[in-house]
Amino acid sequence: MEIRSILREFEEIAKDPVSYLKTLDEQGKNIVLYTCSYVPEEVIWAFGFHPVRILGISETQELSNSHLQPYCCPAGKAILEDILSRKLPAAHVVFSNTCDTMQRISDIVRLNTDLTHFDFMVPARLDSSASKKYMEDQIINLVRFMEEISPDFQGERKDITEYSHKMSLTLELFEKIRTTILELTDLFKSIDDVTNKDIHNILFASYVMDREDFAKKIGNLLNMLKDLSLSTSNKKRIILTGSICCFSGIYEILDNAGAKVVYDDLCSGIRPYQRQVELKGNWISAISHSLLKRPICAAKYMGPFARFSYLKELIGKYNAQGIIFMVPKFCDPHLFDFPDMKKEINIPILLLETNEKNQIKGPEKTRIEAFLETI
Amino acid sequence: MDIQYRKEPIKMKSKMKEIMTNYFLEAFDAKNRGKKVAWITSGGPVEPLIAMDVIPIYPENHGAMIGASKMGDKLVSSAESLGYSCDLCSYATADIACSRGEKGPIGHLPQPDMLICCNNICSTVVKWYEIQARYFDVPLFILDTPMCHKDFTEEIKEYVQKQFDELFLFLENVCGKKMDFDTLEKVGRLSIEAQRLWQKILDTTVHSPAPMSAFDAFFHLALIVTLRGTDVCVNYYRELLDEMEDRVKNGICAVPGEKYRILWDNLPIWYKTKWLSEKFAERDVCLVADTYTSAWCSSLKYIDEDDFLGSIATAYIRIYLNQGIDIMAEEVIKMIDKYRVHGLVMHSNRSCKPYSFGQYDIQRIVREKTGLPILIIEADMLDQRSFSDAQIESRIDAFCEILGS
Repeated sequence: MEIRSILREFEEIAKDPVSYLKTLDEQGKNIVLYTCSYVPEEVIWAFGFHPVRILGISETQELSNSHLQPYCCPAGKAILEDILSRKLPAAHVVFSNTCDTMQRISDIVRLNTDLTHFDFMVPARLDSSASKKYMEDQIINLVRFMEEISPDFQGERKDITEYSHKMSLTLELFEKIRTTILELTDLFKSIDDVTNKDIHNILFASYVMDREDFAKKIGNLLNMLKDLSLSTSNKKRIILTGSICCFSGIYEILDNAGAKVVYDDLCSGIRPYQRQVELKGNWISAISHSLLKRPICAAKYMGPFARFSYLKELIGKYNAQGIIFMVPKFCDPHLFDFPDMKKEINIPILLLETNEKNQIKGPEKTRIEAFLETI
Repeated sequence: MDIQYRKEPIKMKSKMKEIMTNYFLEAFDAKNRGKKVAWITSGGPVEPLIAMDVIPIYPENHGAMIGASKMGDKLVSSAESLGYSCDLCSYATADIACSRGEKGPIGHLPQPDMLICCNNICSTVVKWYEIQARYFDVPLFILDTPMCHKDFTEEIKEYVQKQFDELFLFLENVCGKKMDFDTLEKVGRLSIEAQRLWQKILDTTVHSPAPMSAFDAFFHLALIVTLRGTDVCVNYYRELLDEMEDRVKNGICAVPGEKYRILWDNLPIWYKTKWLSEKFAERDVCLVADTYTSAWCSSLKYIDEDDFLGSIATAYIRIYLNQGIDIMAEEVIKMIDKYRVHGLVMHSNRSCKPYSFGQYDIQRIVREKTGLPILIIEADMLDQRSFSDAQIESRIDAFCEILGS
């Protein structure tokens, strides 16, 4: 199989995830939606369900507008619209306490749909000695939720240790996915034939596809890419950072302008895959540890400089020339960071605020192009 | 005998001003007195600070003062010039502007020696305090109180209780002395007493016509936020309660022609409290209660007076805002019954997303269960630029017509 044909498969799924999921649904897959990268999707998978991260594919806000004010971020509205419109074939949803907006959207979904609903409450503060135990409690709660919605649940809860075998197989699969994605994206920065858009498609598909199939395909892709000759790209090296991607067209704009995204630090990018789960020992502690130690989201706290230190590390590692900070309008956690980020980071930063899902107008496109010219 | 109802200013208002002036004077002089100053969020646990003789300063209280002084737009604009989006919480951005040299109603706040942030009211405060921790280069303590969407659980309690232990250690480190837990228990009792008194004061408006309005409560709230856990606070509210009871006896009320009684939801629109008060009063409408000022006694039922330390975590988790919107809607309905109101006014507050998102659903639930008319006003608690006098007045007119129909 050629590299381009594998990439095309990912592209098709990124373009039309709904058709892909409908096919899975018809095949009898039991889909569980989840909203935040802190939700350990491996737990959902281990119970025989198919985890799908909702990234907000809706471009209209007809249903969400009747629940949320105009000053709600377009990412949250798109996620709510995806759920209320029932375009994704699922009977269950797992929310997390990502931010104030998502916490209220969780309530709105619970009150306005018949989806089986669960709140996975991640500690907002990750540096407390109390966080570890609390995170482990949340993972156990998620296990209990998965038990309850399992078709073969007879009302009796198993001892958590009885899931160790099931979990160890799953953890292996998900660890393989994470390491392959990291290797792949690392390799990609030295291969000009693979575009920014291609990598975005892979990452998008990673949240939607059957994980065994996905692991196989990215494994094949990685092997094929390893055979290619690497080049020292003379493209502008950009780090994308911010919230979830609200405008997938950015990748094409950057491709056309001759820029390489050397690290996609968006919440829908590589950042969620930067966690390593220890495969030996207590699996609950291992998942908890990986979530507490992964690069933090702007909505979590691990010291006042945690986000900036991490970005500085990325800049050094990837020799980045500029940062595009992509944030949905009204996104408090990220927008609060911007002024100090400009002071702390010593390379140019472009703030790109998106007000409507997948809508970037001419002036913003010109701003991106002008930014790339100046770095 | 028919009582001739009349309106008179609340006498205790001048005492409140005097207490707050002394409080700020003491805070500004803290260094000379060898005292530490802590900035703390409005829902944060003040009792451990009082027990350690630390002066608590509330930037949100300062925000209210900025709003009431109509300085919000200027300060928010100034923060915008520093790079802070106009869509962010205006309390936060106005405070940041003041910290960076802009003058507020009292100049600026006394500089902090430490920051204490509790996210039971919102997640915004975590980002806000992070920024201030970087700017002032002072230690920051985050107390993470997970939201109880549906249920309060033992694991949440255990998590927060452990953080309280960390908070005590944090305070001991910054202050260089040990926490006296007997003193903390005493402070806890005073805090509970103040909350009970505050609840009783708010409950005097069950009487019709109400001896005060929610607009008065917005003003007299200051001490339950800033100085609960002190004798000053308890004594003040005792006197205020006496005055309210006297007003009921003597026919002194907020709106002498009170015809309709209204419940207010969300923070006040600080720069328009007088204007709104007059607009409603002109239409014989009194705002008799609100979900905001009552939040400072909303967890009273969870505090054990004989075990303050053991119940402090529960008390700070289970506050009005830190729960699912269906539970909030139930609270609103209870208040509607208790205060016998004829309608609900909801302030859709651009600056406060956890308070405002979900209001449309609360509106639907309340309407279905009570059938009461509900008005939503779009504004901002601090930034005057989000307020349209003409539009809001015409909406109030239409709402009051429905009340009368």
